[in-house]
Amino acid sequence: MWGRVIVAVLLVAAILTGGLLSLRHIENVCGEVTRQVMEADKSADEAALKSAFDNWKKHESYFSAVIPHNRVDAVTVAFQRSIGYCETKTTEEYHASLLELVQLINMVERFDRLSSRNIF
Amino acid sequence: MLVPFIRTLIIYFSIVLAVRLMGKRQVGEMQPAELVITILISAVASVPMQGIDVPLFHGLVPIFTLIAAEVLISAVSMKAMPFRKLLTGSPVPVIRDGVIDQQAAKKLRLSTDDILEDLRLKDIFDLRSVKFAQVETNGQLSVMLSDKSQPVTAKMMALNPAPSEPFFILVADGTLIKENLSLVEKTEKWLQSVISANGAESYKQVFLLCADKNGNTIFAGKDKVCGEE
Repeated sequence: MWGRVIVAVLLVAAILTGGLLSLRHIENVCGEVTRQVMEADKSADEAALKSAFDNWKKHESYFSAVIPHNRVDAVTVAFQRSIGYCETKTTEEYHASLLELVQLINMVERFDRLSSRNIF
Repeated sequence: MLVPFIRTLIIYFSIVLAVRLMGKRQVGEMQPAELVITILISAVASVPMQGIDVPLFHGLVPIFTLIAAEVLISAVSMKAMPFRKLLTGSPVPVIRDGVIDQQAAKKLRLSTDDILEDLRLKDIFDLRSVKFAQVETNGQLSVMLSDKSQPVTAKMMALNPAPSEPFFILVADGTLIKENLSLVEKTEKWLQSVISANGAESYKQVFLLCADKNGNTIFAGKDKVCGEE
């Protein structure tokens, strides 16, 4: 009986700790990628945007394990679109696509956040 | 195709593990809270099983949260009587001295047919033979028969029957279950002698062999009719 209770308590503790660590990790990565994208927007630097994309791809598998795949895929697609606009020097679309990209990254960041919007 | 297959296996083994954590009591008799959990788990588990764009954790975390909550709630309810009553309710008497308590039955939304059906399932066809019956918290009806309708026991007949011991399976479908030999306090040598006495050469030719501590055996060779020794 008490063995099971201890396992249950450990399970709850593991879920809560894992959840909080995951939340912090998502916020850190999304914040970092957003910052890189904003810098790429200011400098219109293709290398900076590609570096942000590489950073995103590095964490993509983890995001797919904790966030619905369509949200993660949307960010990846938006990155590729922005890189395409950057390569073809389509300035207006480039800025618009970066804004969309930042918004999509924010949506990923907000997905697991403990907020009344998410809970209710 | 492979992804849902692997995910289903992961979810399946996780649920088996989770239900093992709940313990045998919950598997056998379901209290209201346990029924809720079972329904919820089946609903939650199917989502990541069918939709591969949903992370597996979105199924596993709720499952293990539900099971952990169930284990913790049952631990608390063991210690706190009011909490237990709140969670599982109390048993309600529905028959006293062969008379159905109509108020209680109405409160439980049980019709006369339901009560009589439950009695019939317990081989009781005459309501008058029931002294006391109550609906337990898991919804089952427990019945105490009137003194006149109680089955005759050895004690009533002032008999002193020989003590009986439980039988354990020693060989099942050609497989020897060694750990049960110690339960009946016998050796492999004794087992072999029983097998030989029944016309078989080894346990591989035995379909079923049960024994008790007193040395009584039930033997069935493969493709042969069961017989008691």
